[in-house]
Order: sequence, then structure tokens, then C-alpha cells
Amino acid sequence: MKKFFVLLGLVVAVAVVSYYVCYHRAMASVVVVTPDGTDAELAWLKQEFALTPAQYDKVLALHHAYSPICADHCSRYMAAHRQLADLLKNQTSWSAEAGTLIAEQARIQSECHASMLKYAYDVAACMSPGQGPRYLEMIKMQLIEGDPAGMFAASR
Amino acid sequence: MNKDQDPKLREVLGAWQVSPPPAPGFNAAVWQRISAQEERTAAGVWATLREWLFVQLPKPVYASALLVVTATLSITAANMRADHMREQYRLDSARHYLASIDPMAMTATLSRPSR
Repeated sequence: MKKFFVLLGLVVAVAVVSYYVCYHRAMASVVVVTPDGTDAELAWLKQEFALTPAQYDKVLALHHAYSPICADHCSRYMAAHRQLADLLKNQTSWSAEAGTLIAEQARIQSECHASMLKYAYDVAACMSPGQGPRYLEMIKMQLIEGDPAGMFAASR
Repeated sequence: MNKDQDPKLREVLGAWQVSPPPAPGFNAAVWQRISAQEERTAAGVWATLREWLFVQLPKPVYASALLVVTATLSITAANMRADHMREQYRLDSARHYLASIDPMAMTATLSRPSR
């Protein structure tokens, strides 16, 4: 009976150790951290689209140049959105002001999409010929469907 | 042949009697023997199982096979989970990246906690 319990202990130990070691080895490539600990999403981009160090530097520069533009669009869109929400909260009938705010929101949204798409084409141009179209596919999926899940589901 | 269609057969069966009569307690004895046999069978299964677990299984040949099977199953399970986690990580990272470049996604993320 003692041998049986020794074997049982061994079975549990082998199961736990092999699972742990194998899982951590398989996940080792997933833990992506940039040297300075920032821009984790760009570190993922580098890995996902196999960027060379030179390509990564170009993408990083484009990203840092685009970030303030994006933040500005974001705050303008949020302000317009808040204004419209406040107006609609107290309004019980149609007004020209609501129409103006809706048009303003749509204008900012189209500006956002245009500048994002321009940034995306610039980034894709820095990538290898095989990776650029994949990257653009992700961007277009985000613009059209609002989520890139379809692209990643297809590659599974 | 249906006995109702043959009057002679019907007559013979009606006159037929069991001889000699069954011993007293015959039915009870039969049931006792059945029950004893069932108990022996159940005890036999348990004894076989004990023998297998405590005597045969710890033998090197079976023990090593069990350890190999355990390691294989663990590695398969770990790889399957890692595959799933990697795919989830890719999707989460893509969403995270897109949120950092898409003002609409950024707005949605920023306005979520205030809800």
C-alpha cells in the first residue's frame, strides 16, 4: 500500500511540474515588455508584425508623433459628445442647435478616422511587404466593424 | 402448435402433475444461493481492484507507463491552455493598440468608468 501512495505522489508531482514547466515555456514569448517599460502595445505590434529594429524605430516615431493628434481628436470628440448629451437631456423637441452639434460630432469623427487611416498607411509602409497588408486589414476591421476579433479568429 | 387448438393436448396438460413434489424450502434455498453468489462476485471485483491498485500498479512497468501517460496529458493540457491564452493575449493587445490610435475607441474606454 505504501508503494501505491508513493506512486500517487509521483503522479501528482509529474502532472504539476510538467504542466507548469510546459505552460511557462509556451507563454514565455507572450510576456512582452519594452526596454523602458512603456509602449507595451507597440512591443506587441513589433512581435505580431515581425518588425525589424529599424522598422520598429520608424513606427515608434510615427506613433509618438500621432499620439498628441489622437488625444486632441479624442478630447474634442468627447467635448462635442458631452455637449450633445447635455442638450438632449433637457430638450423635448427638435432644435437647430442639436442638428449643429450632431453635425459637429460627425465632422470630428470623420476627421478622427481620416487621420487614423493616414497614420495606419504610414505605419504599414514601414512594414515588410507581407506584414503591411495584414496590419491594414486589422485597421480596416476596426474602422468598419469596431473590433479586430474577426481577424484573429480567422488566423486561429 | 397452440394447445387450445388441440383438445387432446389440452386434456393431457390438465391431467399432468409434478412428481415428486419440490423439497420444502426449495424456493428460499434457490434465492439464498443467488444472493450468496452475488456477494461473492462483488467482493471478487473489489479484491481484483485492490490487487491491481496496490500490488500490480506500483510495479515498475505499470508505474512508469502511468507516469508517461500523466506527463503526456499534462503537457497536452498545458499546451492547449497556452494556445488559448496566447490567442486571447493577441486579441487583447490588438484592442489595446487600436484603443491607443483610434480616438473613437479611446473615447469609449474613457467614458466607460463614468457610467
